[in-house]
Amino acid sequence: MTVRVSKPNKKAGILALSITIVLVAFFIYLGETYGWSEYIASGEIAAVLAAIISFMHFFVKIQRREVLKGSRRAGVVLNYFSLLVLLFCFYLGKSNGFNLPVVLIGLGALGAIIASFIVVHMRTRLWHLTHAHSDMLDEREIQIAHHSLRFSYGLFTVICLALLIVNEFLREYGAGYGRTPLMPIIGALIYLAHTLPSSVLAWTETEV
Amino acid sequence: MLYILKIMLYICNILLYIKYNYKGDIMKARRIYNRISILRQERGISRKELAGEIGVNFQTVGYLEREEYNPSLDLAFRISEFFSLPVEMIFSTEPLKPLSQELFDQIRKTGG
Repeated sequence: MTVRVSKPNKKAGILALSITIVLVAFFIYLGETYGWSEYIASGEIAAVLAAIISFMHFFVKIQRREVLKGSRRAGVVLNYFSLLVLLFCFYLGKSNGFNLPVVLIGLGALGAIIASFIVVHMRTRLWHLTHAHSDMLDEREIQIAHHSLRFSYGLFTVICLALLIVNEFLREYGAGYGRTPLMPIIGALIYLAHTLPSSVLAWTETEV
Repeated sequence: MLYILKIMLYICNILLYIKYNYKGDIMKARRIYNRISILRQERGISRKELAGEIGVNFQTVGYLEREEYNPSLDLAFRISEFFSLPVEMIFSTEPLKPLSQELFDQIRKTGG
């Protein structure tokens, strides 16, 4: 009997990468034809990020290394904190203008997101564990992946509902802030939905 | 305002569900003691080699050795077949005595 190691499917990778590249080209075409509105720009950023993530998921082989639990937890906190900073920079720039400090802080946050993502999710193989087909996992891995997915599902619902409450408050008392563009928040939620299960494992597991 | 209160109640409900359900069934399972670590060291094989033989990830062997994970019946039989020992010699619901002590007790019992 041989060890079953989760390997990403190359065909699925080529398909995912092709779709994201078509989306990138599509948003560039829209931007050039109809002008770069905030929606088209957000779509372009989301498509580029999706292309980077699918490329990293399917084609980049990062050597597996054990990361200590404390470092993993710090990485998870840094990852989501940077995501919040990035969103804050976007909305701050949108209301007050994208000046140099805002752009620099935003780019720094994006760099921190990518770096902590590589350390916490890619290097530990947790990303592959929560995204792999169950045939590729052993019984313990299936069990922990199932538990982390169930926990993340509940947590994700709570976060979405909390956002609804914040939006309702802003709409009632926030003088127009309840009608902010939702594209970046939706993008952040998609990122959250994909990373929460492996973040839960990074937070709880003793050895990964 | 009523709408917001409804959402908050729903959130509390989900948080309570998460609190009482996350890893609930793992925690409830009783501890199974084993001799995997000592048998592996006796045979001079690494965790990776053992993992390859029984068809699991090498980290799972670590979890089994630390008794942080209870194997399925299928995996328990695969392990016992690999070590060529009966399942009850490797796994137990009570803390295991050293193998030499167990052998001595058996010999004394049979009168040999």
